[in-house]
Amino acid sequence: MIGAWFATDYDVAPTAIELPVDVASGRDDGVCIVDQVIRGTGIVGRVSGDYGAVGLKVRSPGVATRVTVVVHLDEVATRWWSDRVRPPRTAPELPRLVLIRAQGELRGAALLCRPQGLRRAGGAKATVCFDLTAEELDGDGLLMVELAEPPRPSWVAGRLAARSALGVRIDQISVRAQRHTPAGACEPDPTGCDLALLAPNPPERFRLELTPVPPAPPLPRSPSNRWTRRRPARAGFKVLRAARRAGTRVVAEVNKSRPGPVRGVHAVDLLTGVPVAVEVVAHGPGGTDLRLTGAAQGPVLLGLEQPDRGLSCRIVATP
Amino acid sequence: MWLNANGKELQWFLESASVYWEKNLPRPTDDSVILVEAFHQDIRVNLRNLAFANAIRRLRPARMVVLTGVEEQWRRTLWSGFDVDKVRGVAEAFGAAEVIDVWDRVRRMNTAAAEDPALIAYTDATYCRLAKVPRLPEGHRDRPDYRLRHAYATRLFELYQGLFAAGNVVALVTSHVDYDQWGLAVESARRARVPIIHTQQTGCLKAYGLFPQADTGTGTFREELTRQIGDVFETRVWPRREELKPIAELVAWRAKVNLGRPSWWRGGVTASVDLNNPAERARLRSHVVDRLGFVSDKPVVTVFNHAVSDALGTNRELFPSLADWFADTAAYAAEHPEAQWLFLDHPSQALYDSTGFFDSVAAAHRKARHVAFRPSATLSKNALWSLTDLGVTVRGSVSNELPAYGIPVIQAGWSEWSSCGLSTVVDDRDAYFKTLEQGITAIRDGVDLVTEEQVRRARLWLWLYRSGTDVVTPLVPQWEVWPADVLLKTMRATFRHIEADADPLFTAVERMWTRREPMLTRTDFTP
Repeated sequence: MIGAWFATDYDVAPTAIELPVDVASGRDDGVCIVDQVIRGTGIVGRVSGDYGAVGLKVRSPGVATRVTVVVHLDEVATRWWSDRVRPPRTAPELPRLVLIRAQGELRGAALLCRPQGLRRAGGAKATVCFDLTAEELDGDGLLMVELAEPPRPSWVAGRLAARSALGVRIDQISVRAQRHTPAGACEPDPTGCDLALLAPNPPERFRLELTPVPPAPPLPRSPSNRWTRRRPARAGFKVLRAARRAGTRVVAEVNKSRPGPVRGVHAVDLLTGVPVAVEVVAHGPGGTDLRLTGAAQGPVLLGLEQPDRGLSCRIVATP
Repeated sequence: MWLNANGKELQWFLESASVYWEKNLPRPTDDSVILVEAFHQDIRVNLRNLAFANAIRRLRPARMVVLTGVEEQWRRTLWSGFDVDKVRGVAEAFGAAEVIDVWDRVRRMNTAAAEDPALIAYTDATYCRLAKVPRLPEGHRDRPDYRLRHAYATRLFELYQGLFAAGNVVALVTSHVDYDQWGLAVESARRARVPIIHTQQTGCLKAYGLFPQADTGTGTFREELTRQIGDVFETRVWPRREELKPIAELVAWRAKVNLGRPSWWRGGVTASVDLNNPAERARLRSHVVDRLGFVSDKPVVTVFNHAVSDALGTNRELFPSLADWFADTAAYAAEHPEAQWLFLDHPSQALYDSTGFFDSVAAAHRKARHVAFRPSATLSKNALWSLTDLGVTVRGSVSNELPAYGIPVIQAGWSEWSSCGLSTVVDDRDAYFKTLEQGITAIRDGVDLVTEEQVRRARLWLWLYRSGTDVVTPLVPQWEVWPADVLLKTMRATFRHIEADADPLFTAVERMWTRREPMLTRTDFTP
């Protein structure tokens, strides 16, 4: 059987870690496999390709478990991305959507859009929880967590960053014996963009709130030739970036996006890539009530039919 | 690369080198000559040739004649920074009596192109490499650039034959044995029955030798070498497998975590493998198959494309060209959905192909769901090992690497190690497709295609390649001692402060030279 000769006499078997598991460093004993992930010291690791996976050796508890994964889009992540993807210099930063897969199955998704400040952008963090049955984390106890590319229907073109997982941090992976509440039930924060995510098994009816946000300016790219790499040139670029950020903010203030009633919403099931029908039920001062009329098996990505980079969505339960 | 060295550092290096070699080389008493080529731009390549040649000169005093120069097309495609004067300076510091600018002489010759099949073969391979095309274009014989290449080959051959004609050449030391400027020198040396030393661009000092006594004259230089390497492996290394097992295991572990890698081996953190057993492999596989649109429970055959214009026709191969092999294998794959086929491009393909060959083959099979085409670096080695049930290559290093960890490989041609029994080397095209079919059937039936003996042989080859035939000497710093200033400074310390007595370079070369062995070895392999 292939794999029987993978080990040599000098390989040391990784130590399986016991529950409760909180892995927050790539150098922890439990981190035994990395696939296109660069191990970190204060974080589990950072994805270096279109997909990235981390394998943890967890001593099988023999009971159902809840896994919590914290992913984070920070400044370095965007720099890694722009240096590899080399987007056009005028293309604004776009939100990232990554699928979280474990044990070969889709478990959730994270929409990461950095909040834009006056001087710089903050980090976007997302926590994804999912449950595993006792059989899924059995015997060898290898828990594989992967950040993966989502399906991309035509309407997301220009609204989601290409190669979404590239550069994203996996800050922490926790495993606990399962509690009684189902995973993914917590109320989400505003997404910071005109897209939103519904966790698997969403309520049939929910409310979409819109608020204005400052749109993102283009991302910096690391200078690539020996003249632009020098310190005076870099200082100049920094000034230009600040001016561009301020300019983007001024233009957005003048043409401010106004959250109005939502006319239509696109939706796609991220497990199958199939569109999901959404119906607008009611408009109210607090937001628009929507209802999924089609079936969805996995998390659902929602997007306003009229793209607007100055709006942020938030999903709340209908009162 | 030549130009990146600090001028002062280079000057100190040259001064210390010339003092060192002046005192360490005996004066020749006759007119014998050692020919050393210096056509490569990288100083590390030339230093290996010069050091080896000087080690021979300690045994057999001779004048050193260095062959160098650069032709326009070589400069345009590969070596924009080639500087003949710097080559001359380094060669003279190493005690060269004469430095010949071969291309300058060739440009001044006016011999017409000759219809010698050997010359045409070298012209074809060089033309493809320099134009970065996988195959010769239509009507190539009438193209002015091809005609010029052909004329150059004819003149080079004439010039080289003239150098060997006097009968006073002791040896030819060369870093390459392919293409016109090197290959024709090798061809001339073989015809003149002169020993050829082929230094390798990796590790510390690695070199192979083809001596006239062992040259059957029936195949290319590399064919002769493959056979002789197989003999040494079978008679000197394999019988010592029990004694060598602990160290072979250590080298196998180091190769797995990407330590001690050859210079051309894939680098970076995605090149280290963490998988240890079939269960871990299966778990990662369940993730990786989805990325390619595959399923876990069907065999995955990984086909490793080679750099398509690299040294065409220089060893035994089943297909007319590397591109034919790849395209024909892809066509076969498209009609065989009983397996899933992953076609990986070569990591350095951009240096060898300007025609988008890989993408054109991928486009031709876009509709086949069981076939995927990917650039090599998009998969980590962990992912690759979890996925691959059967590897396919012509002469790629995966045919050593994968069997060392129990993954079977089929080779559609010969490589340095292909006669050491690591992989399944097939003899003709029909057998190739039949072996593929049998391999897939065996995987579906759960039959192991790799024997324990093959794994042991592959690990022993890893040891032989990276340790047994790599001579550690301060006179040739490891390939990774770089950039140029660091290398020059290291070598300056050697020349100034290390005594030459019994340097491993001299003892190892003496052993190889006097016994006419096909490879330079770190220790004495004789029982």
